[in-house]
Amino acid sequence: MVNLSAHTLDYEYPGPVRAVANVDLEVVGDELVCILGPNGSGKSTLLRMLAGVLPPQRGHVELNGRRLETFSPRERARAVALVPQSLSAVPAITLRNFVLGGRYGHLDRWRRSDAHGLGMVERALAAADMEGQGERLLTEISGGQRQRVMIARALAQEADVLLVDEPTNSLDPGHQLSIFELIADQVRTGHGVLVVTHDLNLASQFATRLVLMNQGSIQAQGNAEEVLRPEVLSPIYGDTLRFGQWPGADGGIRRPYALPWRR
Amino acid sequence: MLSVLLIALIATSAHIGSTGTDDTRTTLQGAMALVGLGEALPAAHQMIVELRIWRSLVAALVGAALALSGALLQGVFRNDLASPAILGLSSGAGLGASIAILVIGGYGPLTLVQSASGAAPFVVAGAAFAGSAAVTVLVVALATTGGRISVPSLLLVGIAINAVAAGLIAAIQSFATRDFEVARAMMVWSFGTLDDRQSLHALFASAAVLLPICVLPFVSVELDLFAGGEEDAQALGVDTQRVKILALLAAAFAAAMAVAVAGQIAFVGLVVPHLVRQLFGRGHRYLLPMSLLGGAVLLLGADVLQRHFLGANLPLQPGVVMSLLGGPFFLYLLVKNRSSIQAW
Repeated sequence: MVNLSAHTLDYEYPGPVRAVANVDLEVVGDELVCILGPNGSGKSTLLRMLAGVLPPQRGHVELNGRRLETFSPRERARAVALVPQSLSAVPAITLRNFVLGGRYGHLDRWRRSDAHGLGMVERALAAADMEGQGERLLTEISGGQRQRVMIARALAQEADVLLVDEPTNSLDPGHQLSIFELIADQVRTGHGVLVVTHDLNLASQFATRLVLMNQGSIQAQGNAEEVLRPEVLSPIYGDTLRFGQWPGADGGIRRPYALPWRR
Repeated sequence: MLSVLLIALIATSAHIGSTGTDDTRTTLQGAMALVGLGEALPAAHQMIVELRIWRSLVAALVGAALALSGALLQGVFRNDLASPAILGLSSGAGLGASIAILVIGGYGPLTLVQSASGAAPFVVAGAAFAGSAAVTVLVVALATTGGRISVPSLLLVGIAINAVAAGLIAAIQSFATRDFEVARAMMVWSFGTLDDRQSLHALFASAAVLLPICVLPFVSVELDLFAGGEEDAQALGVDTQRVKILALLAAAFAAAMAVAVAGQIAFVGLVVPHLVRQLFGRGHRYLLPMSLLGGAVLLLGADVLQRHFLGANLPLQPGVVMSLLGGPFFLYLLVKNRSSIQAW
């Protein structure tokens, strides 16, 4: 079973702003870990270090016991997929070609994709509810659709670990749920998934473990009952949340929720 | 279709010249003699045909090299306005070449002059490459903040470096005006020339195209993935550092050798990839090779038209022709993209 782990990671931006401080974290196969925390708490920086695109200033990341920096870039991409919050530029290419980009780590030495790869692209588009839209341009779809296409690309990557940065930001409630359901499906097939999100309630509903970050370090972790509590969240978010319980998807077990609501 | 057009243009170009237009058989006979088949034409006539053939080849190869350089730069910098001339690569090469001409022309340390005199074309080409490579490193270094190349500062740095290089070239030229030969050699560089090109020039121009072509299989798919940003490409498994180095080296080499062979010819590197993108889309697997062909067709075509219509009465330099065509086109690009430029 896949195992991605962070060991005493540190990262400081010029300023100096200590974005990540002394973080140890592990995600294994069939686990859905949600990283929560206020803006600027270091969630995305941590995710980028785990994905191998930002070298840590101290500490290291291991994938199945081997240090991540010893992987070749393509080898790493076959094992770890990153879904960024947004792209720094949106290229005017078709959705199919964009998702095909996820296959880069699997291309042969002449950079050709095989039938399996091309099939994977179509399946990934369908899974992200974008079936039959492969010829549309990435520039002409809505922000929410783009978010789903980025997830489709990560699915096409067929990596063991998925790292997802705020995937439900510009989605309507229905699509928020379907994205998390899609992610949960990956977990059921043995993938390890780590999602950065602000949505405490989606985390409560889907995550196997919640990790709460503040000012670069991990403040609390555990299941939803352990983390979504006033005494854990109020010191970090202030007096902005109302708490309650709701029956979970399986009907029986009650799940906690926390609503943003001024008293 | 582009390749057919290119072959037709080379054939036409070999016909046209200031001494009048030859019939096909004469040109063909001269061309066959050049590659060692059949009997040569009378010496003077054979030379004229050979000069035209070299001119055609050099024009096509230089056009191809400049366009490829532009397409690579636009891919790496994810910006359709990047080109060897705008980023200062061409003027860097021009500066290197001017310094080399000055040194070879007798203004450098004596030992250098003596050792360089036999290999003057190589020294000038080498200096052009060094100038271009130095400018590439400088532009990228100055435009990078926090490991990310900022496009607006890239273009501004390019403008500044262009201005400095142009100033230095002008200073060197005015220093050398007393020496007619040296001054003339430098003037030729400023607007490019395809006159009196010989086999050696064609050889350099082939290198300008062939070496960068070797890089294409390692950067084409990768540059497509650069479109969403460098970090995104990295996450997908692209060795972004290697791709950037290969593509920038190839672009600098192509531009430098093109400038070393034919002087500074603006706008080919900017305009051709843009036109190719309109016709064949943004995928670098097509964009890069098609830019090669398109650049060859454009520069040779412009040269053929210019010689056909203006002929010996008004022998415009290729750089002048391209500026007259490319300048308005660049303005058109700027006006058309005004809204997205403001959003940078």
